[in-house]
Amino acid sequence: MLAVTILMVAAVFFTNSRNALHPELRGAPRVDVKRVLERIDRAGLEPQEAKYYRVIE
Amino acid sequence: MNKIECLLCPKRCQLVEGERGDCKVRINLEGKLKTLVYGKVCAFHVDPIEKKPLSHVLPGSGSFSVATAGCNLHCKFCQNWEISQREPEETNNHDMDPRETVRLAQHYGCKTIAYTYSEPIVFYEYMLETARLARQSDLRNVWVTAAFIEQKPLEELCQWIDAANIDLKSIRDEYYSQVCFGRLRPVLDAIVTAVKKGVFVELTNLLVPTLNDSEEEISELTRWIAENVGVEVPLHFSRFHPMYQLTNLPPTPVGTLVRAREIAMAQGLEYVYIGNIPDTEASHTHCPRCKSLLIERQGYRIVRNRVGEDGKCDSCGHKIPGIWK
Repeated sequence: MLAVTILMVAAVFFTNSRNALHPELRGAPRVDVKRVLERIDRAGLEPQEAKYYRVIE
Repeated sequence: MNKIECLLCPKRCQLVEGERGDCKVRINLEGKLKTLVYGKVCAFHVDPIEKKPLSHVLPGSGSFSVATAGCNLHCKFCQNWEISQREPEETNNHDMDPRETVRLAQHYGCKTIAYTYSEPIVFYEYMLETARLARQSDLRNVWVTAAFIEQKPLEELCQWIDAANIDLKSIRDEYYSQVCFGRLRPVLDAIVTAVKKGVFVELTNLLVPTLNDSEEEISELTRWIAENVGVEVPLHFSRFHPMYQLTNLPPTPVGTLVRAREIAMAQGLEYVYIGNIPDTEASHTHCPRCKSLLIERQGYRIVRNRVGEDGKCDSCGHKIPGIWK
């Protein structure tokens, strides 16, 4: 119970800190892009540009 | 921020840098949408075309069948969840570019390439290029899909697809949202568009006990088919087997499938089949005009085929819809 409470408090603290420092990331998922790319590379995948999308911002 | 929106399927996932869509295979990298599965095939096999199921397309022929990881739906009953509900990093992938795919299809004497097993929409670019090369090599293209796709990419794809088996999972939107995590309307629109664009379409409806097997719903679904795409569109009622997240339900009783077929035929549908059960009278093709037995099947094997290359019943000359040569 205590561990869960500590984890929840920590999650709220880090989320609030991020939102304060980087307001543009508010509500956006946090993605470790470097890790994502390493995983893709390790699996031998070769990303290629897709059709049918648009840039929003 | 480099935020983008995928316009391939009606989910229209909005993705920040490094994030991937609900399909697990399309990702935002440096502000561009990238596919992770171009030429990364995780399943390939020569299947009888009857297994797709397609009963009116080159009966008895082999279909070179390919799939990659990923799907834009998450059906609780998925039969292929081990590839469809996985990220491509989690599957064993073979490098098979479009040219190699066509070469293998020819090598194995197949008449078609089938984009199947998972959801081909998510490997759209690979499917499109392979289909284009296949046409140049006198191969036909077969699309086995749930058709949860936006209209624009669908219209482009239809130029290269000869036949499709489209899964119409239910005629109720709640079923799509609660069991499949999708929506009904785009699927209905896609079926109409594919037929209008000249793709030869057969439909499949998986009957899941207690979820979509009421006589009322079957009646509604078959009425929609008759009124919107025509009574000559073949329909396959498929038997559910407990799988993935629905292991608590029993297999569809054979009686339910037989009753569904009766309801469909009473609505005027001319070609109604029952699939996923051992040999049954309902796997044969009959002429809707003179009632003669045209294609006799034993499992996926063709015992006899009396539909000529001209696609006509050899008894009365009635034109049977499909691709026959």
